[in-house]
Amino acid sequence: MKKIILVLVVIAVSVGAIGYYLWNKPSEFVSDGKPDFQIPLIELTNDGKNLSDSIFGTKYVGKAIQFDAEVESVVDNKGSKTFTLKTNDDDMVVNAGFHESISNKLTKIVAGDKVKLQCDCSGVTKPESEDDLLSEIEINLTRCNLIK
Amino acid sequence: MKKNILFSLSVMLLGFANAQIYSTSTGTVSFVSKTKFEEFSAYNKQTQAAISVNKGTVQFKLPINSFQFEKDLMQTHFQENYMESATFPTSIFKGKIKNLSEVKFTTDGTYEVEVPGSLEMHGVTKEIEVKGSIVVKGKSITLLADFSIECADYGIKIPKNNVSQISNTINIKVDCTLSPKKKK
Repeated sequence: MKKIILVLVVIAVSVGAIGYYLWNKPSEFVSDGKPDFQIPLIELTNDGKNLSDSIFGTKYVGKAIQFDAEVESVVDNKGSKTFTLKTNDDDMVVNAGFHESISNKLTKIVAGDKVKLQCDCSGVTKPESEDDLLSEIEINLTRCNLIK
Repeated sequence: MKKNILFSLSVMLLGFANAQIYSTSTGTVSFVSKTKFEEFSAYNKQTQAAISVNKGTVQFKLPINSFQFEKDLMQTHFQENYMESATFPTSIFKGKIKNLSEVKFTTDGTYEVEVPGSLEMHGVTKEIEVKGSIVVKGKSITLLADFSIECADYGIKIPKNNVSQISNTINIKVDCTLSPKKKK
């Protein structure tokens, strides 16, 4: 009987510990590990422009993408940085957002630098009409990591 | 000669028209949920925002998947269960400043504004009025607002067993600094 109670207590404690761990597990702030895609940035921007939002979402959202790019501008946003990446399309904006925990790694990056990044794709937004104030197509990348 | 003058005039007019729109794609929107038992927050630093200073129209677009939480499980629940971001990936606010004449976009200062408009979220569009302020400083315009929404108004269902952890009233803060929009 004592053994059964002991086993039940061990199971209850284990389940509680796993639940506590899962509930409090911190978010991933930086994309690491094996990327789902290693593609030129232009392939991503072409897909952002040509695919419907839902097809683009199914293909890329939540996936890790590794690519080479040229930094067009660096925005310091309350401790964390965002790189706007150079595209060859006037109506296309690609923003690569970094968590503040890796800001130190980015201090030397300036506009014009060529970088290799790995980011998670969080989606594409498109203008709804011709008179939309936000007239660009924008691809948003988050949890970015500077590979080199 | 006439052609050159016409061309120069067109370029000037185009430049003037563009100068009337200020925008950013790196604005910040954050929110806080607070109950007796749990408080959590998240932020989105990829908010697109624009203002037409001569018309007084404003627009915000939030990619829902760009919200960053401290806890992984909360982020997953937020995206998949509550906001259903695969189906509703973007939230949009479109409004028009009611008291536009009180805002001097050419004079540095802080101007209180009232902006009625439509907020689309989770596939539901509702008319709301947001009170905020516009800070004009040099060539930049900062849009600030602090307001609340009710999850139930937007069809966002909080399961009964999570009511103690997630508030139906969500406090939202907007902080977006815009610069003159330029054509590349």
